[in-house]
Amino acid sequence: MSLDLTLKFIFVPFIISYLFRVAPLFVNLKIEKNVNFVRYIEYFSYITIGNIIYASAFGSVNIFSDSITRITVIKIIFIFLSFFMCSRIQNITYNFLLCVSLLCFVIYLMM
Amino acid sequence: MVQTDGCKERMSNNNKDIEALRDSFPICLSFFFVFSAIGAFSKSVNIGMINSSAMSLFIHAAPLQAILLVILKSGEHGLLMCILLSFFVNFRFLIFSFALKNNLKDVSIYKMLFFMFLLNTSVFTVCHTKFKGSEIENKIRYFIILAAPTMIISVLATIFGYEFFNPNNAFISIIVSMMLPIHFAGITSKSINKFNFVLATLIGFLFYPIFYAYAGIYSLVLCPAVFSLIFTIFHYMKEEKHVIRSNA
Repeated sequence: MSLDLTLKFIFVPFIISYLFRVAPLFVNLKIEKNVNFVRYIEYFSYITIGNIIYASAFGSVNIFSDSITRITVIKIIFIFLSFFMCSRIQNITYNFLLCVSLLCFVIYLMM
Repeated sequence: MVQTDGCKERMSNNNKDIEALRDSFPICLSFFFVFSAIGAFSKSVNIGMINSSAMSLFIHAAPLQAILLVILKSGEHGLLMCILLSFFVNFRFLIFSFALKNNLKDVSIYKMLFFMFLLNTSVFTVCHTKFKGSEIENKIRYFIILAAPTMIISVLATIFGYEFFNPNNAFISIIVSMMLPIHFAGITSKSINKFNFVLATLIGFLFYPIFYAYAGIYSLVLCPAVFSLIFTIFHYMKEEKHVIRSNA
């Protein structure tokens, strides 16, 4: 990769990401006076998490309009399964490992 | 007596450190697979191992890295495209940082300038859930012990993936694509007693494909921006009603 591309594809995204990470440090936000803004931020982050769950599991596939494969169904089941399993048991590490091993086992059986 | 108190404090700190390390384990595991896939993808794009690991170290955001690699592969190398994508895909860090800042008020700004470098979505989600319960006294220590291993693993996994991973293996690609969803679903479940947050996550999940069809990658900003506004308005109206009723 040339220096020009390195600057464009590593340095520019780095600067923008880093500025986003540190910019709030210079803004004095008082929670008591900005309850709705803080609430907005919290909802924003949880909705983003929902977006990322979908994007990383299905990418650009639209599960509502495209044809549904067995793998898609298994993925949906596992997302909800891991949600309910983790809500029951306290230790997230064990849950995570359990879900992943179950998933590996099911996919292995299917292949 | 003083020594005993000191010992107790040290033991309590150790326990919290172990807890933070234990919490970072699922993130590290999912990052291992995700960043290995990115490493393998980088190899297919031919950007070199150093550039690929530098991306993981400096950008440290898998979705943006994946998109940048797709653009590199397509041969489109515009600077404006890079700026716009970085802006929209990583805009969430601004929001995450705002939310975290409230919990890390006592830490000096110079330290924060360095430590916020470690922030990523998974670390934010775990910290946000943990700090809400708030039995953690030294929050910055917890944040560092949680975040540092994830950063190290992401760089090492990129190198590993670059050298050894085959992205065309169907089994591995399915497992890789499921690591982050399982991980995030598990973390969200810790907020199960806060129904609104779980509902917000579900809405984000369900509406992403609809937004994606119209807005493409920008849906990562548009979808949360629209729905969090709706949620906040509802929340506000509900509270107003409650106040009016209690006054009456």
